[in-house]
Amino acid sequence: MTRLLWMITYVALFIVVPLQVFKTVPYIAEHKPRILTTPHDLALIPLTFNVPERAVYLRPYAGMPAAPGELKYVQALLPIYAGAFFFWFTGIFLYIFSRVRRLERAYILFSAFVAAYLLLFVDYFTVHYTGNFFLSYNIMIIAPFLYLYRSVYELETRGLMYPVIIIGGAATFFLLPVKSAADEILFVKILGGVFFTVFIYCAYLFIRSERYREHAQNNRKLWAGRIFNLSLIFAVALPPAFFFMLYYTPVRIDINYNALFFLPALFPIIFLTLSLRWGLVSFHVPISLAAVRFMYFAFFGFLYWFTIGFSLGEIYQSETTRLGHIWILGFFLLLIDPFRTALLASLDSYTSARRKVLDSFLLQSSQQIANPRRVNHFIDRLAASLSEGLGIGWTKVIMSRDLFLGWDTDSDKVVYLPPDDPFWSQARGRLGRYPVLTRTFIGPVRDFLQGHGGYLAITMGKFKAGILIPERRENMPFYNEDIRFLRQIAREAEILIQNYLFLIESVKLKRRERELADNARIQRRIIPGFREYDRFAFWSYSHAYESVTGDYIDLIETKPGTYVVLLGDVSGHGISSGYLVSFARAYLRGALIDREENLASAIGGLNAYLAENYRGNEFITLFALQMRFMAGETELSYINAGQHPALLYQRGRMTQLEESQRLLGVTQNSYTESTIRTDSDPMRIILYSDGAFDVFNKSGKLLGQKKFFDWVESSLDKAAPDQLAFLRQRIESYTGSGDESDDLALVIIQTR
Amino acid sequence: MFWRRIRELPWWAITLSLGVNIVALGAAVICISVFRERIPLIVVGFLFVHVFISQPLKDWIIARMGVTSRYSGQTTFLSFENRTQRIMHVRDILDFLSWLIRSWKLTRVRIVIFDEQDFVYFLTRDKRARKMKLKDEITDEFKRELALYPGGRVVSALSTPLKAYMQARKVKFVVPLLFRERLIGILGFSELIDKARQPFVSHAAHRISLAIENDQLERTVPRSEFLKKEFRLAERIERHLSGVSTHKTGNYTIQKLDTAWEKKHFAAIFGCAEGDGVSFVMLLRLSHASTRSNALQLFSTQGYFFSLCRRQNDLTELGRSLHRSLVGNENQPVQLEGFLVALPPGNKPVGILAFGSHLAYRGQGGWTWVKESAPLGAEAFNPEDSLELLAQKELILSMREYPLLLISGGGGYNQGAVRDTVAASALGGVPT
Repeated sequence: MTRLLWMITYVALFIVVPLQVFKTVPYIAEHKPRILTTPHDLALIPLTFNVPERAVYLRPYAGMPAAPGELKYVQALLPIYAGAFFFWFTGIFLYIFSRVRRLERAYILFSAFVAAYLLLFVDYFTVHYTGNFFLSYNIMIIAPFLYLYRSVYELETRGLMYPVIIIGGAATFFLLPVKSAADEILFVKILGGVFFTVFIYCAYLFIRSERYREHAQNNRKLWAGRIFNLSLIFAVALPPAFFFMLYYTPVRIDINYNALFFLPALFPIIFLTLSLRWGLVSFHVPISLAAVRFMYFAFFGFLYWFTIGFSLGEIYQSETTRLGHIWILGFFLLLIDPFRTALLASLDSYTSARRKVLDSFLLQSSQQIANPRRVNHFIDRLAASLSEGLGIGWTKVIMSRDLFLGWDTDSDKVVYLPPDDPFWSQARGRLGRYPVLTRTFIGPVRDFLQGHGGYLAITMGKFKAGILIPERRENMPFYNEDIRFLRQIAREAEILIQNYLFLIESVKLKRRERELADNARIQRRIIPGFREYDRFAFWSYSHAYESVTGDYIDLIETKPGTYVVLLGDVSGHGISSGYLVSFARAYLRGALIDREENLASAIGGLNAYLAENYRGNEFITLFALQMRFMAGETELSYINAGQHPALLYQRGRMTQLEESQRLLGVTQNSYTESTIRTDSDPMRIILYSDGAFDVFNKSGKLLGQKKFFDWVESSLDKAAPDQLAFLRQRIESYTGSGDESDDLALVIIQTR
Repeated sequence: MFWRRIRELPWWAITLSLGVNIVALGAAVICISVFRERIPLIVVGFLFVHVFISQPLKDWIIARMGVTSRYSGQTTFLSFENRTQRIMHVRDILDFLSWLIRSWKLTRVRIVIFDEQDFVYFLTRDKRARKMKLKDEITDEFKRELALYPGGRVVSALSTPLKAYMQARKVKFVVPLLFRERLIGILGFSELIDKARQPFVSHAAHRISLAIENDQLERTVPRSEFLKKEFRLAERIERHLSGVSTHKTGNYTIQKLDTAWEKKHFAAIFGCAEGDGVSFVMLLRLSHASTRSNALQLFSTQGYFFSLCRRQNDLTELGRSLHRSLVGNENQPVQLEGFLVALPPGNKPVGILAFGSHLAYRGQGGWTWVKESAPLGAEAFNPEDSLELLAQKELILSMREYPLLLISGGGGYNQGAVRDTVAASALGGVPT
């Protein structure tokens, strides 16, 4: 509610200015006064350079209208408006950007009163809409002044004092009606007395505070407070004191003295400087020194234009006033301007020193980042760097729970948030990688962040992680340098988090590779390479696309003289296929050896199990060949469950064992054996998986079955192991550095 | 205190401001006295120069030059830091070094990056970076020595062999690129780097190291992602080891107790009811490590189990067949611990063949530890070492103190006739 009232007040002031200007200009144009006077003709503001010699401040004046074209009222009134503007501007600046505590509240209130004071002042000497209210207002303004003054000293600000002053001021409006010049003079005298009393009271507070502060060691704000108070007294006491002084020490009216009305506007500048340097005010937003510099430039530009400019312009106008002009020139150029320089240099020096500190912390943090240890340690160091560098009490790292899976810490520096917490979307939706004020978040996110005491939050672009910091100690504002530092640290942290994640991934990769290698080792143990029996020899080669193969090769002696050769291919490849290979191999071995089942029954059982348990999601193609060696003949029985036909080569003739049945694992199915009887002439049987021809070369061209068969046929004259080596070498050199697409399994059986 | 504060005021800046103002004012007054008829022009000119030129210029000088010229140093750091912030990848390093050469007016910089294949990049002013394989060997001795100077070192201060090596390559200042105390590269300058700049170089070196490390690690990501998918698929298949979480056979319901399945890689293989009404349940774990690679062996066991339990009624016989298969068919013995349970129809006793250690069951009589025995697949395994429990309403099997399987639906309460078991209380505890 209070904030709304302030807003209305400031907006009203903003609207009143043009309204007043629109009324004042025609008034001056109509009356063409050389000097603006009070309602009872006490001279105060000259509007022309050629004011008569007898014109004296606060003395009755009834002069002639100004000659056309000689009015300088713009120059004369502009300092007053400029002063009002500076108070208005700093007041609204704090209203928007500061965290409103007592001091800020007092300043905003005070600024509104002073801006109104200056507008009333103009009104009092021109159109006179507010009558004599300006005179009473001189007393009323003491209330916000004292409120501000006591706030600076952290004294009690509640009480009857302020309403009493305001009511007292209002009462004078009725009790002391100003009806003549004599009344006005009387009022000015009373005003002088009131202000003198206030001054004595302020001096008392000042001395009491100084005595108290002597005991407080290392109070960084001591000088800031002193300067602030002096400037405050100066700002408020000057206009009434000016009247008082002019009344008792008559001075000839001169347009250059108008600029003195501008002097109270020094106070907002001083206030701003002190707040930035010593943290009198707690700002809501990081402060850019560029903006402060611009304000300095604008303020002093105005001031010099009114003072130096007019004095220079008039320096040879009148021999009698030359000394006065030189005095003003000297005052501003040799005193006020160096003072401005000192203020600015002090602020520069301070921020430069801070930047140096921050840069050294940045260098330190870069060293730490080059040699990171555990995540906990990193977070501790990050928090320490930020806390020390920025002068904040603590730093917290906000982290999504899924950022480092399986890593948990009880550190109070880490705040966990769920991965889908609205904080992430809110933080990113605003300024990306820039810090965001926690008060700009909405809903429970803001409550959560502010509940932790957070003031600024910055998130990292790539990850759901961020940094939360509180306000700086002793109300010091954050500067752009601080924000730069925070961003740089956050950026480095982001790269380091990336590094940690890569590292974690790398460790996982190594572990997975190790597991794959273990599996491959286990698989290799059970793949029969070369076996030799009385009636035949067996060679096989298996190469995994990924360390673990989904191809299945087995050789089983089921009965004396009866052997089963199995070559299968499980759908897919890699470790999951390896599991099914392992299962199928064991199943068939159990059935064929231990339970002495026939081929069809064993394969039927396996198919039934796969179909029931994997429901067609996993399937196996299998070529099962049973060789029964008898005297003078060999009986070959086979079941081809969706596998490529085996090649039988005997007496120079190549035959494909083509009889094919449904692959395993699709549906419940029974299998039948196909049988061939051959004589005892040597024969060569070649079994292969689709990895033998279903491969691509570097250009992405498929090898194809025909080419593979050509290679087989062209190498039949070679010994079986040589043929195996030949085929393997051909296939592998075809793929070259191109991507292999499947596991490769080759079996050659040579009977005698 | 007061005088100290006064002394601390930026007097140099105040003096500068005063001096400029006095000169300007003096010039203005002279101009006005000489050209009186053009006073307005001179006044406006003076104001313009003072407000818009002189005043900002003074402020700029104060901000830039400052006391003991520390501002300029910091401005340099600011631009340097802005550049180092951009280093994310190896290509950014080259951009940064090119900028450094231009900015610091260096003649040549070279950077060696140790990787699967070591490369050296040559950078000279106004030329593109050249990349070459590192032909000359930088010995481990050299690397160890360089790692001792994380902030960089003047080549003349290095050991004689390393100095000779560097001087042969016209390197005068060398900065090791260290990350996690591992040398991952070297930065060589053909000029000496002055002390004021050495912290900057060190700062950049840290950032370069991190970028190189990240670049190298990033290359493993596709492979890692591929394997992650592979293992996710494998995990899906692994679920078939345990079958469904609840299985019904005859009167019995077998239920997995999901307390520790994921962590310990236990395998329950149940659901074989093809004998004359006798169902078998098998709860297994490899007796040694429990990693994913061992799942391969568990699948193998599952294959034997489902193959051998068909039309099998006898627990001992099934145990013997399984043992024989594991010993005979696997090239390396696979040793398993767990339970093989026979669930006959009706109220016939439940047969339990337990093998391995840390096994317990819980019937109506409470927890009972099973005496340690040889694992399945071990030479000393005895398939006849089974025990029989009269049908239990509920039977919980536990391994390594994890209750894993609940078999329910047996007959009424009966004190189980138990062989070879020890009361849990006698062993000092019960499984949790």
